[in-house]
Amino acid sequence: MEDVKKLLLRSYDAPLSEEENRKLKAALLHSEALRAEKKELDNMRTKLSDFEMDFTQDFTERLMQRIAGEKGFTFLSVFRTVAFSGIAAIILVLVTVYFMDGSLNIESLLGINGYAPDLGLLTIF
Amino acid sequence: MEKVTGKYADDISLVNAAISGDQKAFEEIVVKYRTMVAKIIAGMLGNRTDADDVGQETFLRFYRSMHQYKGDAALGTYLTRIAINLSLNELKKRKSHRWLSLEEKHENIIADKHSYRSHDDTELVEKALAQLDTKFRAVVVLRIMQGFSTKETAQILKLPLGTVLSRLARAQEKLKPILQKLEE
Repeated sequence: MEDVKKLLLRSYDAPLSEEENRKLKAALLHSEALRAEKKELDNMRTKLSDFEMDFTQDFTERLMQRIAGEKGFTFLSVFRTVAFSGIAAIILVLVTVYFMDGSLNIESLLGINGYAPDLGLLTIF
Repeated sequence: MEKVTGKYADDISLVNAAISGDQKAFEEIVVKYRTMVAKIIAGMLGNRTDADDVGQETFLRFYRSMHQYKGDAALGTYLTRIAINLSLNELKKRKSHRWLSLEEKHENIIADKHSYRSHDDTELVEKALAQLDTKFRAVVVLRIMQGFSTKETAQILKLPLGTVLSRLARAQEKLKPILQKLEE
């Protein structure tokens, strides 16, 4: 009986061989208990497959809002990364200029601090 | 846009449109698959409140990774994989947190018995599934509730076909008395 029960359970989810099919059919024909078992299994599987469920009504709306927020967030985070890198680069340049020239005047920043034009060139003209 | 043909053409067109920034296309995907995803998650978690959160996370994960979807499997199967993995993560989290004390659990079981006198099949199934081990629940949700073939179920859960079949048989043996008890 246990063997046929296992066969019955398997018959729902996997194809049986011809021999197994014959065995199961014969057992179902002769056993009232097995027929009852099959009926119970049928009922249970129907209950499970009929199970209906949905999310809350505003599920899609909330999701789309989150996605829109995420898009904004992505743009903002990319912008932030670029902005921070830029600021860091500017600070690095200022610090380097300060340590090299000892001041942050416009000539230092332009890299022409202490530059003396060659007046000799002017005498040519 | 490139013309798509084949079994999953509609889904691929929707995904392509969503990738190129068409929010309506993504919304259409959500509307099309939300009940399927809800059924899987509720079956796995046995809790409607958490199901909503995990559902949101499922679609968000898909949104972030949809460029990887090439249409080699049905979109439903792809979403199912995400939903199952996130549900399993949620169950693991719950297990480690042990939300309920044994006493609270006992009170809940008594309360459940009373509430099911209404014979609401949906709630009945939900609670019966919650009493199954996760490994049995997953095969029941995918094969019996969702109607995936045993081969697809095995692929989604990354299990051998024989394991899926034996788990299905064990799950049904366990589930039958649980459902009968809840129906009494």
